[in-house]
Amino acid sequence: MNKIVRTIFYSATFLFVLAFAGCKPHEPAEDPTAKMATALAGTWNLINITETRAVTIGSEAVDVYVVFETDTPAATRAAKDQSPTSYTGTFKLYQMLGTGRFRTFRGTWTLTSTLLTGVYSNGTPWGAQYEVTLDDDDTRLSLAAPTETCIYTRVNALPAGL
Amino acid sequence: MNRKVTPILLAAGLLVSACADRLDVTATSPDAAAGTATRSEKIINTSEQSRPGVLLLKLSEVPSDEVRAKLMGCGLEDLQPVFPSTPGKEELERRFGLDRWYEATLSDSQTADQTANALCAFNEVETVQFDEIFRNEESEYVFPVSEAEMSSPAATRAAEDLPFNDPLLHYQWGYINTGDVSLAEDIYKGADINVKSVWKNLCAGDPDIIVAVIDEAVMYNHPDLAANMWVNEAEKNGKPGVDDDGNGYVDDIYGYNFVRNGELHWDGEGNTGHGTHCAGTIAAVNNNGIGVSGIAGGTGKGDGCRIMSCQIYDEGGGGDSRIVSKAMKYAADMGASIISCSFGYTGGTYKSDAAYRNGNNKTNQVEYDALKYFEATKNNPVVDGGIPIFAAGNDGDPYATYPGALYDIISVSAFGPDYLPTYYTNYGPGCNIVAPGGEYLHKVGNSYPPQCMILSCYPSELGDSWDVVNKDYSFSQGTSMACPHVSGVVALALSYAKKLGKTYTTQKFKELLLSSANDFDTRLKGEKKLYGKTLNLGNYRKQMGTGSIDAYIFMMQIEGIPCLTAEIGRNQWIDVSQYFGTSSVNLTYLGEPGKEEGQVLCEISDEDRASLGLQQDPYMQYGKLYIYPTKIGSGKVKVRAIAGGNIIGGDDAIGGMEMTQEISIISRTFKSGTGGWL
Repeated sequence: MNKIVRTIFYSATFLFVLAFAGCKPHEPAEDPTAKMATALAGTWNLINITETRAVTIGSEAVDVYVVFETDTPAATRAAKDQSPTSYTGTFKLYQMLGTGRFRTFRGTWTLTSTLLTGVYSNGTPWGAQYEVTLDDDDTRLSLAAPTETCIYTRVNALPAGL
Repeated sequence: MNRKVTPILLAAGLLVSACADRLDVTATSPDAAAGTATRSEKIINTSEQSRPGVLLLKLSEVPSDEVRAKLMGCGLEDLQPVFPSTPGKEELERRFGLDRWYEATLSDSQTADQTANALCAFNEVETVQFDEIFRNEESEYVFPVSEAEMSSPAATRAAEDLPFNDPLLHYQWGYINTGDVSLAEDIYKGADINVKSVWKNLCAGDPDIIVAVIDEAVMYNHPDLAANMWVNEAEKNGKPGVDDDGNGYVDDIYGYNFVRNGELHWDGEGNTGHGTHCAGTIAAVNNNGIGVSGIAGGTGKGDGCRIMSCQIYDEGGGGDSRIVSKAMKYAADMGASIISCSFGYTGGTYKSDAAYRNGNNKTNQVEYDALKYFEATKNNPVVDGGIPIFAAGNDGDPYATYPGALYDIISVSAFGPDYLPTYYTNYGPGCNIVAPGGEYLHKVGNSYPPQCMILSCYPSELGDSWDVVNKDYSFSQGTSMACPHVSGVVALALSYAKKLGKTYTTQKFKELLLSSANDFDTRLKGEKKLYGKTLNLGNYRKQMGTGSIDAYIFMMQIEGIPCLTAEIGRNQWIDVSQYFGTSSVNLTYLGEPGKEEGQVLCEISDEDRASLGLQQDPYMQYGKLYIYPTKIGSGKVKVRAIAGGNIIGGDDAIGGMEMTQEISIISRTFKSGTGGWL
C-alpha cells in the first residue's frame, strides 16, 4: 500500500513538475506589454503619415527619427504602485520639418498596455497619446493618435551627424 | 577735430529750418550766402563743410575736347575723372554714371560758388556737388591695456570655456558676456553678439569673404591682423611704383590711401588708430595665442575673413565725398563683400533719403552712385551684391546720420555692457539694429575702468605716451565700434552661407540680418545713471532698430528655419521669434488692417490657403501670427515688418527698411507645447 501511495505521490510530483517546468509566470517576456516595451527599444524613422500618405505635409518634407530606450534593466516594471503592465523609458527625438537642421528633443515615455504616453524633458506632455502596434518581426511601428497615425520603420542607426 | 561741425550751429539750423529737407547751414557762410540768391538747382549741396577749391561735376556724357574746353573756361585749373575705370567693369560704371563724374580743380578757391553757378549754365553739366566732408565717428575715449589685463589669468579663461586661446578674449564682453562684475558692476550677462556657439560649432570665417574697412588706415602688419589682411598679389609681387594690376592705383597691396594717393599710413599727428580698432573687431586673428579675437577671424588655421584697408582719413584730412566714393568703388572692384563704414555726415544734415540722395535736381550725389555701384557688385557666391554697414552716429541724436540712414542701408546703434543704450548713441529713425559699442563711466568699486569699452587692436606707434609695455591693443567706444561688430557678424554669416552653398539676394540677406535680433525694449524703463549723465530710457523704446544682433540666430536663419506647427480646428497664435528675433513683439507689421484694431492681415497663396483649409486670412497682432487651419496641410505666410522704427524710410523721411519673412506652417491634428513631433 505504502508502495502504491509512494508511487502515486512521486508520479503526481513528476507530473506537476513536468506540467509547470516550462512556465515562468513572473518573467516579463510573458507580459505582452513587457514584450512590446522591449520591442519598442531602438531607433525608428518616420516613413508614412497615413493621413497624407507620404512623409510630407502639404509641400513640406518631414524627417523624424525617434530613439526609444527602456529603463535598465530592459523593460523593468514601472514603480510598484503603478499598474503592473506599465513600462517606462527615455526617448530622443530628432526632427526636421521643412528646412533647417534637425532639432533634438528628449524626455521619458510610459507604455501602459498598448498606450504610449510621454513627457518632454521640460515637463511638457506629448501632443497626443498613441496606440502602439508592432508588426510580427518588430521592424515596423505604428503610433496611432485618435486623429493621426504615423508609421515608423526600424533603422540600425541615426544618420551621420545626429 | 575740424571734421566736426559745432553742435550749436546744427541746433540753430534744426530750429530755423524744421520744415526743410536740407538744413540751411549756408546762412552762416558769407561765401555760400552770396551764391544762394542765384544758385542753380543743379547744385546739390553747399560749400559749407566742403573741401575748398574742388567741385565734383556729373556730366551728361563723357566730355569731348570741345566740352572740356568750355568747362575749363569757367575758371578751372584741371578736370579729371573722379574714378579710374576698371577693366571689365565698364558697363557697371556706365550703369551708375561713375564714368561721368569729374573732379574740377578751381583756379581760385574763393570763387567756388560763382564757378559752380557758371558751370551749371552748360547743358552738359547735370550736377554740381561741393566736395563735402564726412565726419569720422571717432571715439571720445581711448585707453591702453594694462599689464594686468595683458596677463589675463588662464584659469579664468578656462573656466569660461572660451573657444580660442587669445589671452584678451576674456575682456571682449561684446562677443561673450559672462556677467563678470569686475568689468562693470552693472554688467548684464548675455549682453553680447552670441557668437561663442557659432565659433565652436558652425563657422569662424572664410578667407574668400573680404571686408573693406573704409576709415583711417588699418595697420596691416599688426601682429594680430597681419595674417588676416587681404593681399593684392599682383601688386605685392609686382614692381614698386608701378600699377601692376592696372586698376589705377599704384602699390595697393593691402588697400589704398585715398587721401595721399599712396601707401597706407596709420601713424602721425591726427591719426587715432580708428581703422585698426575696427578691423580687429571684424577679423583679428583667432586662436593665435596673442591679443584679442575677431568675430570673423577664423580658427587660427588661415581661415579668417580678410580685411582690406581703404584709407579715407589721414592726419586729420580726407573724408570728403570724392575720397569716400573712390574708396567704395575700389572696395567693389577689388573683391570686398562688405564695407564697414564708421563715418557719416554730421547728424541732422539731411532729414530724408531724397534730400540726401538727390539734392535739388533729382540726380544723385557722387557717393550715392558709388554706394549703389558697390551694392551692385557681386564678390562672393552667396549674395548678388555688396553689403554696406554704417555707424549710426555718436551725438545722442534721435535719428541716424546719412548715408547709413538711407532706408535700405544698415545703420548700427550701440549698447553698453549693461545691455542699455549708450549715452552717446544715435537712435530712432534710420537706426536698424544695435550692437556692443562700449561705454566708459561704468563703475567698479570707486573707479571707472576702461574694460566696459570695446577692446581691439591698436597701432602701437600711436601709444608713445602710454606707460604700458604692449601698445598693440586699446579700449575704445562708439557706434564706430558697434558697426564692425555687425560687419563681423555679416562676414561670419556670408562665410557660413558659403559653406552651406546657400544663395540670396542682398535684400533678403539684409532682411535675415535684421531679423536676427534679440529683444532690446523690455529693459528700457526708468533712468540709466552714469557718472555725470542720466538717460531717460523711455526715449529709446522702439527706437533701437529691430533689437540687438545675435550671430547664432543669424546662422540658424542661414540654415533655414523649420516649419512651425499649428493645430487644426482652432484659432491660435504662433510665436514668430524664430523668424523675426525675440524683438518680434516690438516690430511694426505691414499689411491691410484686419477686423479688429491692431490686426494686420498677412498674405498667403490660394494654394497654401487651400492646403491649410483656412477660412479666414492669417493676421499679425501683438507681435504674433494668428492662424486658423481646418485641415492637415502646409503653407507659407508672408509677414512684412519694418526694420527700425515705425515708418519706412524714403524720399520723404528717415525711416526703417521693409523686411519680409515667409513663415512656413504645418498644420496637424495636435501639437505639443515644445514643437516636438510626438
